Amino acid sequence: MILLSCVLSGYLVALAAALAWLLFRRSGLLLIAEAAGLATFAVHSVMIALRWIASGHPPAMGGFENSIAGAWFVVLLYFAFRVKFKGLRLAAALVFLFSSLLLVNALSSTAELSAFKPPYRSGWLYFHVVSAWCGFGALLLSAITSAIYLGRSAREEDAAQLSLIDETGLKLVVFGFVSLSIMLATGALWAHDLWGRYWGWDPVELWSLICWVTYGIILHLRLTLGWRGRRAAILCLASILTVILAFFGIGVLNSIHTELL
Amino acid sequence: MDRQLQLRRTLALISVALTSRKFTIALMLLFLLPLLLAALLPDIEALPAGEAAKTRVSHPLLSFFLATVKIHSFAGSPFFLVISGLLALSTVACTFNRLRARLKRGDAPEQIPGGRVRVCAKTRAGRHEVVSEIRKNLAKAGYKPAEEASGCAFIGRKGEAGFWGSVAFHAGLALLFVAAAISSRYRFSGALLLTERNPVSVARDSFLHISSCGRGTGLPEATLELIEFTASFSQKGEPLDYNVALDISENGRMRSGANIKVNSPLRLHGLQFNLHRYGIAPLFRVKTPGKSPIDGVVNLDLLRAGATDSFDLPETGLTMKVRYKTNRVAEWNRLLPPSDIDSGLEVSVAAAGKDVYKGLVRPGMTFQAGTHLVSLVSYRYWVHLEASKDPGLRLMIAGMLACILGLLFRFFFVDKQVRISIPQGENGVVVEASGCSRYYPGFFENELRSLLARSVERRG
Repeated sequence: MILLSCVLSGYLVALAAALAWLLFRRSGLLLIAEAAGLATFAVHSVMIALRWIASGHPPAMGGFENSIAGAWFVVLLYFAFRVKFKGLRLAAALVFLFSSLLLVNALSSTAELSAFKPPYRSGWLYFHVVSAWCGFGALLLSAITSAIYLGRSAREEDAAQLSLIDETGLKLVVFGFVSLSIMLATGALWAHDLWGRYWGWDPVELWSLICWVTYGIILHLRLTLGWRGRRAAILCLASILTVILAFFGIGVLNSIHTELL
Repeated sequence: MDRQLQLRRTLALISVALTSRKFTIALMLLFLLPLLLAALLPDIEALPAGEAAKTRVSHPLLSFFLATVKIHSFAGSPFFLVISGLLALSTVACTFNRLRARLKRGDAPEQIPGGRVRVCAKTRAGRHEVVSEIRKNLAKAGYKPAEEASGCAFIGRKGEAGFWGSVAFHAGLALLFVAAAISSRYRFSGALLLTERNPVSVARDSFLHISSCGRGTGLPEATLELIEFTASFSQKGEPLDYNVALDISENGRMRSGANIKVNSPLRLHGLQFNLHRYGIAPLFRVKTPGKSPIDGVVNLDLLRAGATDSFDLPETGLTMKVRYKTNRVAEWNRLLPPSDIDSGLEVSVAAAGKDVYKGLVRPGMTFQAGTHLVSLVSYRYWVHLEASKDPGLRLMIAGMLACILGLLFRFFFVDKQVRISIPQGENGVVVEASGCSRYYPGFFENELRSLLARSVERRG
């Protein structure tokens, strides 16, 4: 918990510096934000490794483990894509904000160590969970990029820069879609080993399929009908809702709708 | 003649519709719609009877809609089946069309429909030096440079494999549709209940229930006998793993022993057996004056204290209600073997709706219930195995593999075409690069700029 508080504080410092950079546009501030983010990411990695060693299994079970792993993947993907796509630096503040929110969720969850339940003891877990988090991270980043695009296009900034932001968002959607596809395929194979069926239409599977089809439609609109710019960004931003529902809101949504009836 | 013409026109119209991109996207949206409805609307059929009846009264329109469209039972929803079928056809038609166009084109370069880009650079260096540097840099960036016949320009192209990635993805998708149809039509699944030391043949009559699909599936002529059910637990009492040890006999001869664990099912002649549930099975013996005793194993799902179950004792007219008394069957790090379970069952026996016995019964105890003597001989474990056979599985795996490989190819190989002209000017060389990238013209422009800068800067 102490380590978790340290990591959360580190991301909050990075968030503050990134926000200050967005306001004052001093390159030193971005440097501080990314340096703080990278240093915190290193501590975050150590925390995950320690948790893994202590529990004897990868952090993939329960709210606490999923939150710390989710935050880690979002920051990892940010830095991985940031190396190649410089325009992504604009997303720094939102990335650190989302990571901090995930870690706040971890703080409010029970952190008790528990043994891996028998269904989790499968080699498919690694492929399934890693691809799920990669997909979540990439699609979240793509939504952030879309928000930045919309913000900047409203101020009518340089068209070449806007085009690069738009294309970065597209690359992230493609990466996220590939990850979601791997997640669905490995999940289906795992389900076949576990229950003897690869698809069962349960809420988790249903929302994952909705998410996959939604991003499939976005890719078709962008790649075959040539949607670009504002309308593509709005669509991408709205579609993140399906990702959030698929990853976090399944039980909540079902119960809300049952009560509404 | 008119009819033939009309048929041809209709077929042409269908073909145009199926290969239209807008139509495909519309189909995808229609495919998404029932999924969203099913995720957001309540499943009235799954509600408890009282609640379902109330809902039907309070929301008649919604109930009528859900009952008609059957949105929650996808395999049976006519709307969903039609949309899926059309989407599958459209996928096949589009992929076929693209392949045909590609084969027609042969080796001729394709017109990439992406954004066009043009950048220029000047240098005082000699043309030969610049040409060799550009050649080197183009090759380094993955382009295959080829000189134009005029000798003044190079043409480079890369990322053509992306096309095959897209074809593989869509072919995989078509396979997934076919596999899903086969699975929903021919998949067999059934529940088999095995009690320790009680052989059960894998025959239709032995299954507790068989799913409506795949009734024609052939079953192996085999007999399964549960030898032992064990489980391991952590120090905190959390389950770590379960193991079902089985003996398998085929055609009356013992074949081998086998184990089923969670995530590690038994596969027998295409039939897969997964561990689904487990419980305890008390063995009762009933003695009636003047009759031979009856031994019966009763499978109870009572692993938690306080849980209750009831059953009829065969040929006695007695109904027995039992409640499991102890707190745990599992002790540290193991599940107790049945011989060690010395736990009492709170028993209440009724004959013709009238209580004839109430009390705590332990293994080895006998009690009088009306004119019958009932003994709890011992406990055994039972396991519920889910048997399944899916003829669509291999196609599904092939489809998923094709989809993922295709997507990876599409992701890593993006079609790009570049033409670099290098005419000799009066004060040096003017290098002009123009080209197009299918999806990323902004990044492509940057790529061309850095390519030219690298080729020119060191040459002055």
